[in-house]
Amino acid sequence: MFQWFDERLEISRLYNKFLRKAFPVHHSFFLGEIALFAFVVLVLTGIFLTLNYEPSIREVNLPDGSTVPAAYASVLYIDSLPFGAVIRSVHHWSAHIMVAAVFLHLLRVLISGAYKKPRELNWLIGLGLLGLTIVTAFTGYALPYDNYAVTATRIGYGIGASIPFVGGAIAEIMFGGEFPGSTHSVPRLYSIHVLWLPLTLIALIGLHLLIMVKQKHTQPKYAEKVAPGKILGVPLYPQQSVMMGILFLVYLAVTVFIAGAFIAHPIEAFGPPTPQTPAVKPDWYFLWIYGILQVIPSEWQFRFFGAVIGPEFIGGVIVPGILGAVAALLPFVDVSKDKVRYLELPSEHPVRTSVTLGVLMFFIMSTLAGYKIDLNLSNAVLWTLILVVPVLTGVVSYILLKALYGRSWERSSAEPQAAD
Amino acid sequence: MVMEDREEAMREADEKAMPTRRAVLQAALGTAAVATLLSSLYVGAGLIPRVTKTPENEPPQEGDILVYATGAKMNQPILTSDLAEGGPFQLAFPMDPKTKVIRNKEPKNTLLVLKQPPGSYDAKVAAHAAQGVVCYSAICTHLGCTVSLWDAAQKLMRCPCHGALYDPRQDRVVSGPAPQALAQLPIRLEGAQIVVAGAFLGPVGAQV
Repeated sequence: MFQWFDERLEISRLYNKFLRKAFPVHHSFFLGEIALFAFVVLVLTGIFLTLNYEPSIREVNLPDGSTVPAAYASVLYIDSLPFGAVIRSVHHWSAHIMVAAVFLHLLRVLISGAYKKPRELNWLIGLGLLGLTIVTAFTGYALPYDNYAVTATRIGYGIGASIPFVGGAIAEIMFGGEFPGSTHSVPRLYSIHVLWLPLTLIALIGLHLLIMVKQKHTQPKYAEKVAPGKILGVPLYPQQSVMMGILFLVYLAVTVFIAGAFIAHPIEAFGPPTPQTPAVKPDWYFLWIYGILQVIPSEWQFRFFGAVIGPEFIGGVIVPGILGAVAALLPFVDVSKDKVRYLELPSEHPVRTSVTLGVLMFFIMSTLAGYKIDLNLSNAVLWTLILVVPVLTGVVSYILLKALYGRSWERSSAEPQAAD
Repeated sequence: MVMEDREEAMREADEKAMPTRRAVLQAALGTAAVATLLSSLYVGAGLIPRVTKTPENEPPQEGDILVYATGAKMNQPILTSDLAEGGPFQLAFPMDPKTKVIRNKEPKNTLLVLKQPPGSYDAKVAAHAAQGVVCYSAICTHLGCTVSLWDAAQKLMRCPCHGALYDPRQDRVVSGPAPQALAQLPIRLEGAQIVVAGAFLGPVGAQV
């Protein structure tokens, strides 16, 4: 049997050439894999959801006599199917996990210097994947068409429309007219969410993995001492595949448990859209932008060649845009002459590590600003926290790193040959 | 000998024709590219949806009656006697009194109506209020949420999304990220019913 296939498909050649490829093992290397698993689960549960979802806001009557949008009614129907609510919940939770895993994966690559030559391209693709993942999550948000989702999406529409010159057109095209209100909105968002963005994600994930295989995965630092010049790892098949399989099953078990125990986005509790807007908070990965929007005063508005640069554009587009641009330029500023094969230790690159911690603290403080009303904090206090705490964190981290590892830096700079 | 001569001649002819052939191919490619670009722009323009005007999504018209947008009395006319002086406000939609069409298919038609002591308004707001009843667009000028919270202590209107605070007595933003005050809608009273007396006095919706 195997021989029959082998003679036609050359399986053993594939095995020798590709499946024997060794991959290094390190616990932090599984973050990208978890993101991939989340994506696979999202596609599978998403396919199930499309089978019963109705992308329309036409009014339908529920058995209890109330009139609700068809999309909302179809999600109620999905929830009533056997395990329907759990599958929808798994879809929702997996979206959270995917965003988190992609972000943590990026952090791992960042603090270990794996973005350097030859991996600049994959760093850029990875940044694109993070952006696309978040946009995909956002376009799915409005689909249940409950009051909460509609309000949250409305804010996104406002931020998109705030981009000078092109924002109006971008928002019109993405949301199919004014959101809420336009009957084209849900079909448009649906098509983008289930077709265009997932196809783009699949293509980019494929490219990301191909480039990774071609350039070889970076190896843990200790591999340099244990087996210099060689690849220290286990073959893709069978060892690495078994690990991946187990990890996938663990991922599935954990998410299904969480999703079953904590049903995500209970649309019945939110109800269909009403003229009133509930006090919404965006998902956690948007909270920092939400927080920045809360502390930017309305006076921050000026005209620029006839277009209005308003607080929404500054908080919702410029601030994330600057962070994205800095991230995209990083591998071309922090360069390495030789091809990087081994991970750099965060402790030996104190500036990068401290700045990263400072930026993380900026995210945390901006997120805190998202609770401005709940915590009754003033703008002055929040601005101080947002600006001072990250800088302080960076400085303190540097001092701590120097105190802990300063002696080893001197050693490595004293004998640069040994470091290469 | 003859064969070789012919081959030679053909090759020469071929080389002579080369620049012409290249030019023709380049022109063809260029034309195709421009045609593709133009037609894709033409087709792509369909991505911006057409808006069909219906009575339900028209802006408030003069003579429209204000009806409840939410609550138990939804779609019934708001009577001034129902409004408590000093707040809270009620969310409302305009309704064509003849056809009974409620213009609630356009979220920007969401209005808020409230009653304050007539002396508490400044002159600009009072000019378009009627016996202490005043009407504003309920759409926050920040990012388009509905201003739906009433701050009873300060007697101010609050947007639940990013906390913009509006003062109904002076038509101004008290605090928060909103770039402009809410647009006032002139009203008059016909008996206990509240009737639209004109168009919005400012831009409505998120001012981005």
